[in-house]
Amino acid sequence: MNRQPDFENNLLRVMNKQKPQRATLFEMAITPKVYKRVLGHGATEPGFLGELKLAVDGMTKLGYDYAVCRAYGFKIRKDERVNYATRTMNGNGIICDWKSFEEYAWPKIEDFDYSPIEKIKPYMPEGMKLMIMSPNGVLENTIDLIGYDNLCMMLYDDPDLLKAVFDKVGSLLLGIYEITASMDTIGMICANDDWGFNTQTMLRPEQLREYVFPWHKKIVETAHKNNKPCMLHSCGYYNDIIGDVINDIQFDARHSYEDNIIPVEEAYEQLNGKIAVLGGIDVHFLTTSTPEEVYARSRAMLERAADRGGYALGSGNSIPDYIPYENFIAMTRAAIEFDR
Amino acid sequence: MRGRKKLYGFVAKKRVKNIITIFTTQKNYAKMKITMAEISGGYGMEKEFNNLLYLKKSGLLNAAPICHDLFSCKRVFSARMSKWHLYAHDMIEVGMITEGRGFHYILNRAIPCEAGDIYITPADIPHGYFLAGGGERMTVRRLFLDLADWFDEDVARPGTPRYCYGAFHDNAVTACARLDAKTQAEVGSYYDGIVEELSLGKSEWRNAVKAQLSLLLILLGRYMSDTIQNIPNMQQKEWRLVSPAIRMMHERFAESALTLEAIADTLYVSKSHLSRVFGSVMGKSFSQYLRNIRLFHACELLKRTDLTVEEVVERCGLRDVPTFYRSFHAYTDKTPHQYRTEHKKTNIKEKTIVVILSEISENLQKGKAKVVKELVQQAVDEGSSPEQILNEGLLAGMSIIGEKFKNNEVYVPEVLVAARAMNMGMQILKPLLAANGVKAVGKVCVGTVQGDLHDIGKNLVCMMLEGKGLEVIDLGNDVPPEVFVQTAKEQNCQVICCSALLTTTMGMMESVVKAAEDAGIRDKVKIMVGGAPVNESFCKQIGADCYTVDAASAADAAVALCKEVQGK
Repeated sequence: MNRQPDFENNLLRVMNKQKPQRATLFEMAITPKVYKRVLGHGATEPGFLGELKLAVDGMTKLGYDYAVCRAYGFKIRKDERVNYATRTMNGNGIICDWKSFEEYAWPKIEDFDYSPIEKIKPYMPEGMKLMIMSPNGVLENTIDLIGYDNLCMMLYDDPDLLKAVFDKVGSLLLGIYEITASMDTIGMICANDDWGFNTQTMLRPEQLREYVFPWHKKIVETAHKNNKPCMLHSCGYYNDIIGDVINDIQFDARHSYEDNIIPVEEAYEQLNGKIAVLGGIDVHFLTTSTPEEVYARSRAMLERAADRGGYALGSGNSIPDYIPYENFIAMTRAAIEFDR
Repeated sequence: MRGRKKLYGFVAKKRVKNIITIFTTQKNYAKMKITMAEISGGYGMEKEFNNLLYLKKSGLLNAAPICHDLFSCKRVFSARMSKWHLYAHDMIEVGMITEGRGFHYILNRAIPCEAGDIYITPADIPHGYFLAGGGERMTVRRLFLDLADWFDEDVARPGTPRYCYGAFHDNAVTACARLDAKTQAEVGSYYDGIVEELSLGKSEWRNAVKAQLSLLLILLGRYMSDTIQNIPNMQQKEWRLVSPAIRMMHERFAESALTLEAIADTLYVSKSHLSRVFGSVMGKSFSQYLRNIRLFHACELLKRTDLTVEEVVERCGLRDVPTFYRSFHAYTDKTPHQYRTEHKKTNIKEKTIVVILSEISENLQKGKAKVVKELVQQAVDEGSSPEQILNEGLLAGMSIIGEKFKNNEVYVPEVLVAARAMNMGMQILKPLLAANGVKAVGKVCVGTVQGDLHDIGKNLVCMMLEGKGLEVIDLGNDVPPEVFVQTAKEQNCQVICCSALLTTTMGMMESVVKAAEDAGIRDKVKIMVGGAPVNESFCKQIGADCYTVDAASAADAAVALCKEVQGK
């Protein structure tokens, strides 16, 4: 691939709604199987540092300007997650009343070892930065703890308890960002929190504004305080809240687009100039199309954004195991060949 | 028969096998004291009145020219005769006594009747069923119908070459027969079928009703044919004249210019002849009868509207206000003002039920479960039928929620709390509905496909389906194709709903379609698909029947599909 990472002139410019120096790639998550295939090996050492090294090597090789850095090992709900590919959001609620809220063994920010984020620096190629992301978002973690149906009922039955749970989760996630945002290796922040279904948001926009958005606003403020851009990864319908995302919370970029909701081509026309658009090639499309079709759509999307900027090519969500490797490579190839 | 004749002055002109026909003589008619009276009291009147309100609101009243409760007839009035409130209506009544014994009052005569008897009463004849007294029980199953609404005119009109429903001859005052056990069972099954079709309103319900009605009429026609053939000419002739006159009076009472002369001209008879025959048959003069119809409607307007007395007089075709005051007092023993005041109470009660149902719907939409439960109990206590509470209270509220959900006016949390409120109301209604034999609109099994644990969308669909009156079997998540199919087969589901959130699991939906084909039930069950990655083209590609974008649309589609399957 022979692409030297250059975060500052590419992804950072995209995040600032500018034209990058070259067609830029973006992914929020890539399955380790892809790294293994392009590198010929998996993680060479266990733990957070090993995972980071794998991401740095893999994403460099694939032509990215950054590597994804998950807050490794930090979990707000420690049980479950038997099968990460699919999980119920209505699982047994751990928190159902004040007693269970108070007795819950909340993780502590200080227990988390952040040092690998700094230790990785010598290992990173020049021009590369990390994108820090939390273990799921404010709404997602709260749903994990309460269960979605229960949460909906709690909105009416015990809003004070619900607020307490949201605030506890929000403060924990903010704590991670407050510690990591200032680190030199971190180039940008990703707040990842799914807010919607295909046809609407999971809570009323007013409820999101009351319980969820204030914490995201604080996360964005933390990023901006450290002169780093902050992007939102949030699946689902967003029309009713896009004003909040851009004007109130002030995210710099938005990620996650699905053809069944709004194809990225339309989303780009809608959002260009207001907020950067990341990724967007629909996961179902990536899974079921031919490499040629993937290449053609990816190139067309890059052409659409070439003169206006504020766009990085990538999947609508992430690269899971089931997306054919050839299709993923066809997409990245479209970006790499775009500049030739 | 002899006993009946002796006790009740019943005159049987002819007895053939176990069939009797009731004829009226001039002498008997002359004895009648018929007075128009308000609709109240009497045999099951209050319940029937509520049904009327329901049918009117639901639009069924205009849609079904056949019904199984009195007040669904297009026009009903009651006649007070002696101490009894009899009723007349503009539809033929087929009444079968299914249990107990009592009397069937027809005009001025009471005929003992008991289980197994069936009466066919033409339109506009005041009559009614009453208990024999002493706490005895009697159940009468009745169908009200207008043959002309169901069959071509030349088939439905007596006297025409193609007329084939002898038992419903216009010229008989009433016909009755004692059915043997086999015929009773046969008639009962037709009743069941017709009532079920009317209640459920499945697709092609009208054709289904018509088919069963035809068979019922043919059965009764054959059974009673001997009787009908023996109606004396004189009776046929008199009734043939009076019957259309009565019909015209009911249809045109609001015309102040409607007179005996005008009707006589229409019927091509002399004024004096019509007057004489009418008086002899009805026991009341033409003008008295017409005035009573007008006063009856004046009572209704006073009770149910805020019209002034002058406006009431004008709308009922009455002559002038002073005359109206005098006639009204003679008719009701009250002034119009007194009458209106006294009936306010009744109005309040009717209004109360409407208000309660509306409050049930409103509170359900707000998710106030406890309040909904209390209101449902209150509606039951006020005498509202469980079906009415379900349809006009709970399901009406859920229907509004569904529509608002489609338009993004309400969000999932509001749908969930509304569904919870509905379930609280259903705790009270369920046993009552079961006792009344009310069936769900259809049965659907729902699940997230194998390999997929996502269940929010699936749960939402379940709630929306229940909100449309469907019975839902929730199979949960990670459901293998054979479980969908096995459940549909064993539980007689009309629809299978499959949900998936992942590109990798949506393929299982095709396996469900295939499993249904392999099990040989594909033509008996519709398969719906939904979920984030699913779309219309995928639905077609795998051979499923329906894809919808959201849960509320899924519920609408499921109702339609259930009806389609039931109509097969």
